[in-house]
Amino acid sequence: MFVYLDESLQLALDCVAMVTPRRGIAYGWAMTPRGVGTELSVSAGAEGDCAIEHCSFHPRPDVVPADPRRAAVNGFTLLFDLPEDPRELVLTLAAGDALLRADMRDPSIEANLFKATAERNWRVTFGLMQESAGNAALGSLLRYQGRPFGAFADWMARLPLVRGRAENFGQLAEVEALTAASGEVLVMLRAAGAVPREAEIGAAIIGWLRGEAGALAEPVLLPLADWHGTRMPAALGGYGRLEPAVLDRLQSVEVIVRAELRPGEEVWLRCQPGPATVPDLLDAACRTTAAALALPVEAAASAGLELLRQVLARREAAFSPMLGALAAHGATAEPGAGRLPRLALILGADDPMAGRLFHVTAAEFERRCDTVLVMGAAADDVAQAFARRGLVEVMVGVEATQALREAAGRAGIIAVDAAAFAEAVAAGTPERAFSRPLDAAEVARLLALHAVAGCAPALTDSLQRLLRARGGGPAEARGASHRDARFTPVQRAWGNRHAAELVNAHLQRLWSAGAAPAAPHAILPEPALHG
Amino acid sequence: MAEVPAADRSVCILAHSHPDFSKGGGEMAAHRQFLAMRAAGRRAVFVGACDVGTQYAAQRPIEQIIEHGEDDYVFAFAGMAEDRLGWEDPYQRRMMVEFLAGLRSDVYHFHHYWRLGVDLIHDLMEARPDATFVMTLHEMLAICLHHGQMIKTRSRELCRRESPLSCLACFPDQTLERFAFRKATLLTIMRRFDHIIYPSEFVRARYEAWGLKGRPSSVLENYLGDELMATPRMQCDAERMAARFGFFGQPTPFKGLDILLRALPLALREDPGITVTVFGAEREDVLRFFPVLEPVIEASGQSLSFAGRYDPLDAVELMRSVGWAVVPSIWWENSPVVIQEARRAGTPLIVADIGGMAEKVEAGVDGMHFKRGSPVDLARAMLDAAHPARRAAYGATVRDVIGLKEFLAGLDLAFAPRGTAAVAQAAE
Repeated sequence: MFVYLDESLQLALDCVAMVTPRRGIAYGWAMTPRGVGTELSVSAGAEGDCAIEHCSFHPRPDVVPADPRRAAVNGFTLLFDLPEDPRELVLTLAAGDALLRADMRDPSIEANLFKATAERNWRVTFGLMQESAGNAALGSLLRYQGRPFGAFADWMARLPLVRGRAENFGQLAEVEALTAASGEVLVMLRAAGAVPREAEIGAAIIGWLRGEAGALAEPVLLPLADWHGTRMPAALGGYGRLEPAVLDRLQSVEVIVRAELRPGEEVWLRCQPGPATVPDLLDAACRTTAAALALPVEAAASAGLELLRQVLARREAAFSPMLGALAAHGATAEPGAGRLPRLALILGADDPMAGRLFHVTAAEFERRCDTVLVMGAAADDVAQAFARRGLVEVMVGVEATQALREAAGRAGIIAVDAAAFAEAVAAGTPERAFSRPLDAAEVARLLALHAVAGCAPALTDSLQRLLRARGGGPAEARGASHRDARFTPVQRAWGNRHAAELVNAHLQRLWSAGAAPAAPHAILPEPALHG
Repeated sequence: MAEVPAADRSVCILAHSHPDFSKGGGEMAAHRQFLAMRAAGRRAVFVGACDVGTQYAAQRPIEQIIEHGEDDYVFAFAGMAEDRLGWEDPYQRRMMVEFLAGLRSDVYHFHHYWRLGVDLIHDLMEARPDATFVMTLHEMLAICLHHGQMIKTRSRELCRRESPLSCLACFPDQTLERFAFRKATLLTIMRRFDHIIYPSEFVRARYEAWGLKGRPSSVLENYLGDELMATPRMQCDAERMAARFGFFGQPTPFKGLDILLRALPLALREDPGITVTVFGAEREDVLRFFPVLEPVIEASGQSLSFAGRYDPLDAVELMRSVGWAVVPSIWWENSPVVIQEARRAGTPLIVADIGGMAEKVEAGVDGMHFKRGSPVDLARAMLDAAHPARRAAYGATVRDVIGLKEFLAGLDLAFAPRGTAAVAQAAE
């Protein structure tokens, strides 16, 4: 729909749709005389003006005024509130004394928001998406008509999809997207040749957040606590960190990437990042293109290491204070008056063979615990050993993770590494596996360390590191020497061999943030057992 | 309440197979115990795993537990995991436990855990906390993933002690965690048995080093059965039999038949009168396992013969047809039934100097030892043995095997109710 007053004052509506019964959205453009104040408003007739929840403007290079010296054109996106069942709906453009009115209910206006969003300039849609992060009103666009990704659904469907990693992806030799449990995402666009200095990268993050228990996860545009996009000689890299507040509910993320390798040469991607440990993610930041694909580009590896250094500095600035505070809290926490917690966490249940062991040793847990949380690839096999007997509550998967998070800071747990338990049982001393509980503060610190400095996917690895650091754990119990209290370097095939030193030193700093030197930990006595 | 004498306690004997379908040493020993106990007027039930029923169950529905004779049952184990140490189908496991618990036996005597399941044993122990549980450990599968043989998979060296890293060297596709879970599970169950019976000191020492030290146990030889025990021992003509050597068993690489066949030409050089008869295999069977030995077999000519397979019940009789039984196994052997059969027959033995062989054949009494895996040393022993006077001397000293009375007394000791002294009764 198009309203014309003269060569310098025009108004067009590309789309008007109801996002919810009480909220509408309008896409369009306005041509206004230069040097004159302009204003857009929406009116519901006798029911008065509608509150504008959001208004954003963008260039419309496709609309050219007759005399660009006298008039300017701006595209707009308006999100406005509506009264209940309005009798009319009018968009008014005020330019000085002149007014232009457009009937927003005109049947010629496109009402298909999916289509209009997909067909707009993708930069505009991308911008709207970025603005939606953390904006409750705009956030409702992602729930439009109940479709996943709402108003952006058709646009999202048109974006090229990258799951984890792809080679020979369009003009890129390699695309890689990773995410860590810490809420960090990394997108690396590795080119086959040199990338110009003016190249840039931007991203919007959509997170699938779990709602109330039983409710399906829904997509939400997430604000970034940190974003660092950088150009390297042969790659573009983007490192982002989500706000910690959303991490508890975060199920998965998608990253919408816009990159401009050369002016006017855009790359659009919809990345579903692969899960990665922190070392994996950091190594990827400085990994150059696979040798078989890359043209030699001078200093590409050094530039990657520079990005790595920048990311490490940002991580330490973000995480060290939090870890230090948790460690300090743990040092001052009062012990649980000699009582062992009644919540057990079985970690490292990765082998179905573990199911048999817990089948025949379930009673060891039943007489000590009320609830057993099981984590690991074979958690179901282990859980069944308890569930069949029905004497303790047993949880796996998301439920177990949630229970652990709830315990963090409030209650202690008996953390039992499945393999260490097996060794204790074989040695005839199963009680040994229960004698080193984590207090509430340590549970919180364990979870935080695993998220931001975990060296392996399984929580078991982090638990063992924590116990080693405090000078008593499975390793010590197995006869390991005191030198094990030192940080154990991450063993992996590094994509960039120079990354190992930087990453290990960084992780060591995080693991020791605020922690006292390793010292023998008090071992709580076993409670008197009956039966 | 009056204490029930051990001899009056009802016993459920469980085995990993049934001799009607498989002739392994463990199931033979278990079933012979069942028959001997019943013949002695004791209350005994036999329950054995059955391959035939298990294969049938994979195609058509079949009762899980089938009566196979009077108080003699077999069961299908199709619901078990691939390693046959646990059940994948908890329902089938529960059926088994309910059946076994329902027998109301005073004693549950397991002759294996393989094809029975550690989880089943655990559940049965929980279902029958009042019963006495006894296990005979015939072999070392719990200790060693390599069929319990404690021989290194790559080098075939003898393994003397289980350790996670050693096991990983033999099975690099396994994990340390898996070894830990397996050992802990098996040990947990075995430590709960009221009594463990070992057929040899050798096996006992291995299990105790592995983690069973301190548990009530005894060494009790397997019983050969009333039928074989009824056969009278006879002296042979040493002059005629001294140079006749026999091998009894399968020609598998671990049984060491190749050592004997390599030793034969060496011995023949000095004593052309020596002969070797292989019982348990035809020439083709041997060549299938040891194709490189064809020239040796050809060169041995009439001095080497193959007698084919034999029925275990004929073993003692066959043993009498040779002057010496040779047991050249390159693995430990736990308590070889061949040695028992030879001793029953009164035939002295030449055995490798390791494990159950060295224990069960007392050198200078029951026979001779030679260096394990050495054809040269075996040839030396054969030449030594081929003298009629030597054969006559050993024929006079070779010991008989355990008799029924001693065997039942050993069982009574093991079957005694928990916390009570054994009330061993003499077998009638």
